[in-house]
Amino acid sequence: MIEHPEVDVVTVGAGWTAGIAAQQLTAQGLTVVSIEKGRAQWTWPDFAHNHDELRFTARHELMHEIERETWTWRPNDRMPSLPMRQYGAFHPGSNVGGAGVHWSAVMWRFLPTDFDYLSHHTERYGRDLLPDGHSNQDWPVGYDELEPHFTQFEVDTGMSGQTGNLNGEILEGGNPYEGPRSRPYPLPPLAPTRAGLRFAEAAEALGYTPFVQPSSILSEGYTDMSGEPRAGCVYCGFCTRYGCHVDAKSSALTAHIPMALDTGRYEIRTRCYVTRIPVDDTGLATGIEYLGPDGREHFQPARTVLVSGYTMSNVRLLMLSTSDAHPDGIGNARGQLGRNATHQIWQQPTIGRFDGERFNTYMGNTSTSHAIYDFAGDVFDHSGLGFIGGGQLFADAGERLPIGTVEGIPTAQGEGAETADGEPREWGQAFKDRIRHWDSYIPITMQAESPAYEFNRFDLDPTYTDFLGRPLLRITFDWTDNERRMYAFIAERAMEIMDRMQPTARVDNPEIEPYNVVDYQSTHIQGGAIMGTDPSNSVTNRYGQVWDAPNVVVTGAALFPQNPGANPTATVNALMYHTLEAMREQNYFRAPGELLS
Amino acid sequence: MTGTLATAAVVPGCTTDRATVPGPQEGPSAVPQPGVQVPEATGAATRFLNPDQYELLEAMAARLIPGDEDDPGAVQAGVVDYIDRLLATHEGYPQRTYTMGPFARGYEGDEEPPAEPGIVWVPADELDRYGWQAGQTPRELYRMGLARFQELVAARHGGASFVELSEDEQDALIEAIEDDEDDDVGEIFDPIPAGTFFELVHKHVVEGFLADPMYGGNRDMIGWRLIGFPGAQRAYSPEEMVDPDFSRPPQSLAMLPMLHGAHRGDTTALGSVRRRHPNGPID
Ligand SMILES: Cc1cc2nc3c(=O)[nH]c(=O)nc-3n(C[C@H](O)[C@H](O)[C@H](O)COP(=O)(O)OP(=O)(O)OC[C@H]3O[C@@H](n4cnc5c(N)ncnc54)[C@H](O)[C@@H]3O)c2cc1C
Repeated sequence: MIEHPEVDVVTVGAGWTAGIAAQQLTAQGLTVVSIEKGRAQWTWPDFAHNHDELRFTARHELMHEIERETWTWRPNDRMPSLPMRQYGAFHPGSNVGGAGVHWSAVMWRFLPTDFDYLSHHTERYGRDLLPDGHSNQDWPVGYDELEPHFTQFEVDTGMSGQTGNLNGEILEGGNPYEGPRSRPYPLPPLAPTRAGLRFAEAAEALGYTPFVQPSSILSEGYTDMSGEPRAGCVYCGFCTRYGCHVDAKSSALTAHIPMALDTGRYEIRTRCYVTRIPVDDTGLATGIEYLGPDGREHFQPARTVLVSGYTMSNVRLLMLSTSDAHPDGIGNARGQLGRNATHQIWQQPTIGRFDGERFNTYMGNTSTSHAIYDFAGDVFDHSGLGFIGGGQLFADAGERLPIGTVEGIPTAQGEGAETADGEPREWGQAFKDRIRHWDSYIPITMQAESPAYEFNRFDLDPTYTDFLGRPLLRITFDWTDNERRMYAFIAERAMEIMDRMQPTARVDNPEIEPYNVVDYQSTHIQGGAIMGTDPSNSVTNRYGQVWDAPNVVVTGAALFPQNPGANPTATVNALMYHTLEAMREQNYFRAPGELLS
Repeated sequence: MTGTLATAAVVPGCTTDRATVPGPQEGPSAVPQPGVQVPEATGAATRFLNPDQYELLEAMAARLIPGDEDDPGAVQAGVVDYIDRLLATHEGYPQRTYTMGPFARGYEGDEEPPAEPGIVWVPADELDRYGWQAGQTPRELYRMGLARFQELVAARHGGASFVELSEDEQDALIEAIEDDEDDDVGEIFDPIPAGTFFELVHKHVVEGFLADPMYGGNRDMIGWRLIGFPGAQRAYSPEEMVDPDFSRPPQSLAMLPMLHGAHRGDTTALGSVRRRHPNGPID
């Protein structure tokens, strides 16, 4: 074992949250090392010439190395678990910057009622509406407490959007349901798409409030916290699953990591795979063990360990770090580790084809499309509906690339052969004629909530292992009737909007697709090391510190008790800011211990 | 600049003659664009497929995305050359794939079959939810799949080969492996599911039709022209985003100008684009 000199903080990976921590901690004079399994990558030159769908989207160039370490899944404990052998439902990242490089950068703050979730719902509807077997709970932090951190992050990196609620005043053109903001978005929203406008017109006619989605992509030139000016979006259409070639899409590479490196107190070690968090007799972490690119084992001692490798990696690493002090893994003394695994509904309730029109769907990105929030969270009355939870609807017609999108185009009546299952065959002359309409269809996509249940969880797989022979993380997860009803209700609203849009052909999916790991379903996997008010309901406190090992700090969406129907990173990063502020104010590094609330 | 691009895009390797197989096409008819260089129809040596496999796969591709000189399809786009190149590398795994066993096998009915080493039994109708579970490499699947497909053709058509059949007969056979419901299909293909083989071929044909031409398919950007995709572009304006009449001729990655006119490694012409960080990690 090669032992390195001790540092103040060692992080798992060099992704979004690790980058933020490195910037703030080194600014205070502390030393930080990140142990990153992937390679180095920078806007220049790595993203300058990457407009290649096959390499980046179809072959997952920037993603986690599942050939070495994947995840197994089963719908419930009566079914066998099998490994995800090729990419499907989610696409975690690798390399410097993590998933926060190839992300879409749609940037929602969660709604205030997403935080006091359980008490809010019980108060408004009583206990009866909560689904059987649910394990939802309140977050130990609320929207108001996180608000300054959302705002700080937005200003630090630059963000585009139309303000909907400024200090309680509802403003025209934005999301009227968002929590009150203390200041407007730093930049105006991104340019809209034709498809988004078409969707917005129909939604508005039905009494809803469409708006362009908020985004961490710059709509105009902006000088971020690093003092370097960055260019606005050029709508090239190679966005999600790509690094941005003009630096308009914010990531840890655009400000935080370069600033940390500039201090000389930060080091990133690439191609180093973290295997374990060793602890001392009292159960406190002593650093990180990893496999180096030299094929040897290394030990990086540190006073504090940031578990910042994205949801599944974080939960698994805590589980694998067994010792006398933590026989079942760090944070698992009370069986809390792995609880409340959630995912998200990301499906297309309806797709319309508009013959004779072209929507330029290959331009822009996801956030250039209009969305409605009228059926998100608890902004609508759920009384008598038989479910909790909600979701947003948006016109999914930006950054369309051909290989992955020529299948599923709606067929007109009698247009081509059908499979034994009654689906149109995606080949033959009819298929060829159909894909001439490739730029003429608009899906309405639903991104919706995933409440937490006792039976949906992470643990270690008894059969399958990684390249080092250590157990893979097993995901046990399925939808319940609550989500089936939620989906059906919101899908009906989507279909009504599509009625108004008057397509020439359409496909409706009124029922939720059974959960599977094949169809992409968002990389918003959450829970497993959730934060809570005390050790009996959680793995960490409100700052992500593991209850029995407070110098082990978990970051990211593993902390979320349940999963609101919106992209997570604004909240992920606001929580990181929140923890770093508490560390600063409470002089945590003088004697790393539990932060006070 | 175009000169270098042309060399980069040509399928290398012309040592032997794929004698028994005619050249994939007599030249695509789509009008070549100035500055567009595409791999030529060379009849070049294949890297993985033997002549019979090449011929069969090309005949299948011709049904999956039909075409002729006036309205080119998969064959004119060179998708079989794309597949041949793909199979020449990494056991034919073009994408990240976890390959450790045990492997799943579907069963019908309520009773789970007795345990067997190396097999995980899964109810057949649930298997789809788990995604790719094949225990064979793509190379093995192509070798076995093509041979078994030809066996199926021969069994159903008195020893004929696929290329001799009518288009309707060919379509019916492809439908049979896509649906994978008939007894003879299951028996002939066992142990590889015919549907898995079909999906693999289908997926690769679509890729070869629509991926950047540098991978050997999408010759002359035939696929992109068909669907109206401009390919690799640096930028569109907010006005263009909402222009109902917008169109731009397609451009491959090799035609995409270097950023800010800079050459690789020249970091002086970057404008606002961040430099590689001097203290950055070595890699
Ligand atoms: C395709 C895609 C689209 C997305 N779109 C959006 C969006 O529009 N809006 C939004 O809010 N969020 C989006 N996200 C989610 C967002 O990317 C994440 O929430 C965010 O990156 C999480 O930050 P993190 O620090 O927790 O992890 P990451 O940023 O993923 O960083 C984790 C890092 O740790 C490294 N690592 C992990 N395990 C190890 C190990 N054992 N050893 C060494 N290194 C390790 C990884 O290689 C990686 O670099 C998207 C994600 C994906 C994949």
